[in-house]
Amino acid sequence: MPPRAPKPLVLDPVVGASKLALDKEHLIVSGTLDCPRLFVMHRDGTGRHVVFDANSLSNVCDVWADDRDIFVSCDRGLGRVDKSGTFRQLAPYTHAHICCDEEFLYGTQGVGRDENEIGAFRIPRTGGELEWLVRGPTSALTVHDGRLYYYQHQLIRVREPDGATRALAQAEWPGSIVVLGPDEIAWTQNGLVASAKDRLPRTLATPRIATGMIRRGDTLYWGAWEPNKQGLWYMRIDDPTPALVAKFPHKSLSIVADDTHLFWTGHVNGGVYALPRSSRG
Amino acid sequence: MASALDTIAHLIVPNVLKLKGAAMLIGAMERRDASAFAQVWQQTGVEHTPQVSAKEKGDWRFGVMSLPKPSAMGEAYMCAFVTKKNDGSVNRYFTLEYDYVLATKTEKTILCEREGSLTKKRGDGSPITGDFQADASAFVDAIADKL
Repeated sequence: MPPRAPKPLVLDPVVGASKLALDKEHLIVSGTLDCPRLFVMHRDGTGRHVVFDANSLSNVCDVWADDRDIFVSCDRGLGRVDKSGTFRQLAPYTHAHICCDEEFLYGTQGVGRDENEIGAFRIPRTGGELEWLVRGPTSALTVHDGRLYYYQHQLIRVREPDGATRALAQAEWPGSIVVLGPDEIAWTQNGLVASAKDRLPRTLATPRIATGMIRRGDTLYWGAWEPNKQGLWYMRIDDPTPALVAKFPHKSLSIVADDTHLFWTGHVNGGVYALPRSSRG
Repeated sequence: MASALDTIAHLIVPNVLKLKGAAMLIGAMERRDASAFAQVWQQTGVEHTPQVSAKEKGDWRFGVMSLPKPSAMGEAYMCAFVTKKNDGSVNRYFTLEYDYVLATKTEKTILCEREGSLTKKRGDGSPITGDFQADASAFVDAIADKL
């Protein structure tokens, strides 16, 4: 009999936790519906502090953090926030999906008033001139070794540092794109978890609903929903046999990890959850 | 003649639903990804940056998108895509429409559902407060009562 998947720790049961990020010491959570729009907490779930409540901010599209900064794209545009609720706008885009490397903040803008303001861009983390990298409706971006991976027109593409772009795989609105190698990626989309190497696709799993995905070391983690099999899944890259990490009523929309724990938000109606990485089923 | 906003709410967006399916669109909306609808605004020339939200209730999944502010009956504040968790082939489409009551000279909202080429009224809609997330949540509750 296979080992039973452990139950996750409930760090915050609030309904509507959406995107999740991790800075030096805190979890940063963006919320919708009945949830504060942005709040932080310690990694054990204590010390919850609301940065923006529903009265001060209507909509947070994405949040990204590391040891240096917290960035959000929200009703007030794209910018840096601190935990006291101060917001400094870097760009006026309100619906950007974002990520960072050491030097730049990257964003995708899928819709907008002007077609010249739709695409993928970057802006120095400290502020400055915004540079458009890709034009046209773009979403689901990841940055790795100076390369920008993004989704556009039914294709996952990569933009090299010299500006050249090429297609890596066919997809349909992927939730997350994870880099496995220079020409190797994995992603989640509706009903599918897949990878592609040298443009050769491979199906890893076919849950009815697949959501967020991250890579930590040699392991992929993703959220999926299937009757009686919903929760957080993992798969070693060199042993493509998916297994359930944690079973719970919600699939995992946004996943982050530190050296010891996995953290995730439970789909659109769930809260914030955690599990020691060593306890995967 | 139908207004541009009427046509977007009752013809163009439902056509996107037919092409892509509710499960696909709701999956993108859960991640706040509205790029699936970029062509609607680009090709109609209507300036609008939609807000999107998603929710689950019981066996149902909902994706809600804001529409340009209505000014005439038949236009909608927002629309919702609905599918079943267990059956992604179910595609339902609702609108929260502007309505004007001549007898009392008051504005209100009505909940409508698109079925084929027909728009059917499903009763009173949820109020509009201006907070998209709160309004989307109330809209979903109103739809859930009719499912």
